Amino acid sequence: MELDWSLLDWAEIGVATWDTLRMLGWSLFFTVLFGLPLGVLLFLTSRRQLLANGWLNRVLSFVANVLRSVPFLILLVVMIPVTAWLVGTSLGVEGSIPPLVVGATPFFARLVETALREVDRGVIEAVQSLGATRWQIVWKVLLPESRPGLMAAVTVTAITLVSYTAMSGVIGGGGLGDLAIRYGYQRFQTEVMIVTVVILIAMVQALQMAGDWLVARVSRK
Amino acid sequence: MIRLENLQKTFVVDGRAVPALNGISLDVPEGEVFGIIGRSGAGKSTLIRMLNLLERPDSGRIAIDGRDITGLSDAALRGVRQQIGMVFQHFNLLSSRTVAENVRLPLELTASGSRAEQDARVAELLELVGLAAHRDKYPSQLSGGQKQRVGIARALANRPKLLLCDEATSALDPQTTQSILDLIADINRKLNLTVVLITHEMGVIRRIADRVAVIDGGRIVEMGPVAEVFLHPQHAATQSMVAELSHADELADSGLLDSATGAVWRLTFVGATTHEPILFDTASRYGLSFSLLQGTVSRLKDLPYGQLVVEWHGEAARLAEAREGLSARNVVVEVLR
Repeated sequence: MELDWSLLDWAEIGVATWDTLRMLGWSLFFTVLFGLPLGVLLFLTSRRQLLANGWLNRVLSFVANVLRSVPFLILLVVMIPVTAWLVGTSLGVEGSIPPLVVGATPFFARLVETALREVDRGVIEAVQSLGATRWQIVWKVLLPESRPGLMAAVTVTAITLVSYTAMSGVIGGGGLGDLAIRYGYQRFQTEVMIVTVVILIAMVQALQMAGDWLVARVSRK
Repeated sequence: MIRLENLQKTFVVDGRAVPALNGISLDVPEGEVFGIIGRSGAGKSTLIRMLNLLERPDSGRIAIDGRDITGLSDAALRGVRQQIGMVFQHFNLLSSRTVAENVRLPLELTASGSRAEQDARVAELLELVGLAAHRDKYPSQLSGGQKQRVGIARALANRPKLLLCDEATSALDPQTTQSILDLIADINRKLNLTVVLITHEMGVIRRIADRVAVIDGGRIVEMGPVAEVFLHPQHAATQSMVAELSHADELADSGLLDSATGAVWRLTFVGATTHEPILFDTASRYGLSFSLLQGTVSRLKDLPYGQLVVEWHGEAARLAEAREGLSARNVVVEVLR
């Protein structure tokens, strides 16, 4: 098959890339905003922890599991009315952010929970013995001590969000995924497909490198 | 300072009840270094963790400074905990904070003083534990002994009246153990701080404790001044722990006892007697000859003591006189053969 690169509309690819970055940025922001407290709560309410509460933990855990077990493509479609009500549209960058956040938040929360479990129990106990409140333990011990793990969790989540943004092209979400589906798939323009895939690979690589660098920077072990 | 009354605690492990503490009662007066010794699983760790309620008893009273802490509200309990320092076997420092920031943490928690006052307090504490030069290092850059010094500085930050040491030297080598114990003894003297420490090593008790409780199977089986318990252990658990330190087992293993032809006595003496020529005096006065089979002359905290196993040769009547003569000089005589 002959590839004809002259047909590529670079301006449109530029817009699509920018759209993907916006979707990624906003959805990552809200995912961390909602997922971090949820992860902390999942951890604190688990067995033998500071707010050990079996009932609440089971409810949170169940909700997180349900959301995580729905394939993202299905979640996109199911979320359409909610999204329309929430941001006024289910299309474009704005329309794809709510499903991205709903899809990624439970995932991120689980990663946060795992990172917090890595904090030495003895350290928490030592700070308890100093008369710390639960709030102080979260802010002064759990979060700072698990910083490398949390950074790694943000990195993994950001990369997952890149692939989710590509999928949201299916419901007209805009961005590189949208471009790839409309041109690469529906109009058989393989060139567009190749270019979008290359850009996505570059994005994931850049995120992973930035994440690794941050983790190394905050690691004190 | 501390009064424990009839503490009971049972853990449930895999649906089975495992008793950890079974009726523990004791008193620790202010300024004392009180040691609790026991084998692993004896319940000592559970016991020390109850003194600041990291572990709650099923029943019994825990009074600190005359106040029962088992019924306190969360806020009141935090206040009590701020008055009790605790040092841990594995140091439990925050890896994300520098030495100075670790020591500052308790001050941040209680929001005591301005930033400048906190800085001054941290500098003072690091000076006390000899780590002023390492203030900006992270725990991962320190040796075990240095980490424990940070742990001690952190425990002292809020000027507690009581210091709890949970196997504070068990992860350290012998020299470092010695220096950490010296530091704790020094702090106890300088600040008149009450210290409760738990350990499985008799050597730790011998070096710094004033009184000791021996715990076995969740009960206190022996308690008293260290010299008494250490030199004249009554309970089997105590005897075996003391034997490890004094190498008494080696005597039995060596065969010296079996091949002895004379009378074999263990002589125990403390204080000024340690400096007297008791063996020479006894031998010359009662016309005996002797050979030394085993011996230790050392200190119990500040008290010199000696424990010698001696084989005597001489007339039976003279031996009996010698025995009375030794007793009159405050030497405890045990006849081994």
